[in-house]
Amino acid sequence: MATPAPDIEAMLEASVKTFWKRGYEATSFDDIVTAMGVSREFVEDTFSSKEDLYVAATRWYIRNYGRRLLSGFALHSNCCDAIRVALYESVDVLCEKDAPGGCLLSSGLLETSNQDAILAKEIEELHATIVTAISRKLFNCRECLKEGTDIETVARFYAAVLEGVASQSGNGASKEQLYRVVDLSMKVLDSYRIS
Amino acid sequence: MTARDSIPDDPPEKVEEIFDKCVRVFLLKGYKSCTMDDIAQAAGCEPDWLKERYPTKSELTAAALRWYYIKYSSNIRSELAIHQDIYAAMEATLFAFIDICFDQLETGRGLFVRTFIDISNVDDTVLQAYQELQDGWEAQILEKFSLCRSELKNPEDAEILACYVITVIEGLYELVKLGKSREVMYKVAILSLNVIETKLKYGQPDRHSG
Repeated sequence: MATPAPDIEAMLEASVKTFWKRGYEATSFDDIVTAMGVSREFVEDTFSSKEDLYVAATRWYIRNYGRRLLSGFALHSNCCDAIRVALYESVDVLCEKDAPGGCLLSSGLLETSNQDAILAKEIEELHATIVTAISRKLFNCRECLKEGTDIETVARFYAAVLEGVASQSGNGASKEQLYRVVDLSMKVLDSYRIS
Repeated sequence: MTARDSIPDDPPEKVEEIFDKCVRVFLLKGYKSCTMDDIAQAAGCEPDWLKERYPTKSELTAAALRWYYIKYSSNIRSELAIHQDIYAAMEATLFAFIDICFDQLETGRGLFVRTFIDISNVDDTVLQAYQELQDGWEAQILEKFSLCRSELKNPEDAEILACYVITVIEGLYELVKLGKSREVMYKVAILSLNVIETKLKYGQPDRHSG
């Protein structure tokens, strides 16, 4: 009887959790192989290096968690509700039981100055996707905002909050604290809304 | 700091150069798999010279974490001491933080504090060094909010507002790394201060310097 082929999706999920728990820098190729529960040979045949694996895991993460994060944008026509829901969703994702104490999307790699660093591009693209989604939502709701609202800066502010929440989650902030921080951050958008 | 963290004869630029190179080696080769020899080679120094100062990779990493943390904290401490009211203090802190990040980049250095903190998750020596940094910039911000409670509509908001400012700073740090300009960062920082303004008893006059 033939051995069933390893489930690539499950392997990527296992690698995401390992990267998330330990951080890219502190995770070795062997750590990933152990977490995946498949042979080292299979992993080496599938992924050429730790960076290659990280890129695949990042793409998987973006598709699954990133899509979940941005799904709230489509569900809410009101920009405040949409942004609040997306930020809450990010807190939920970051504070999930299986993903404590770290953030997958390590930007440390942006500093390695490697021209071929596909990963750095992936991280930048994810960030750009988020900023674009927020900007678009704000633009669509512009009739509710005061004239002269700097939509781009507001979008970047919420991208910063998202990044900050990820770091704070890694620093050990609780879900309740992060929800309250999100609520506070919404006062920025409130200040631009036409009451 | 331990006695070996900094040999008096080593100029700060040299020390920081080593820390900057060591984290690049960690990122490229992996923290666990790289060796002190790899780091010495990247830093352009003799392995024995490096090991005399930092006997192990863990001690080198712990020293680097302390170095960067103290660098950021001392700048922020100065701003917090100069400005008495909470709004001005936080405005100056955010601007100082942005300036430190850009100064770091403009001198060819990376922004690696987060990377060292990540490593503390898997190295007990680094974790201990991180936990000992009780007077880091986060604690200073919390302390400033505590001292300025009387300026807030609700004094109980001091802790969560400090948490908010720390979150904004962490977010600004990541945006700088993503290549946003200094001007963009200042604009985001000013915007973030709206939250503090709404929490003040007497509001805040239009004083944004930009």
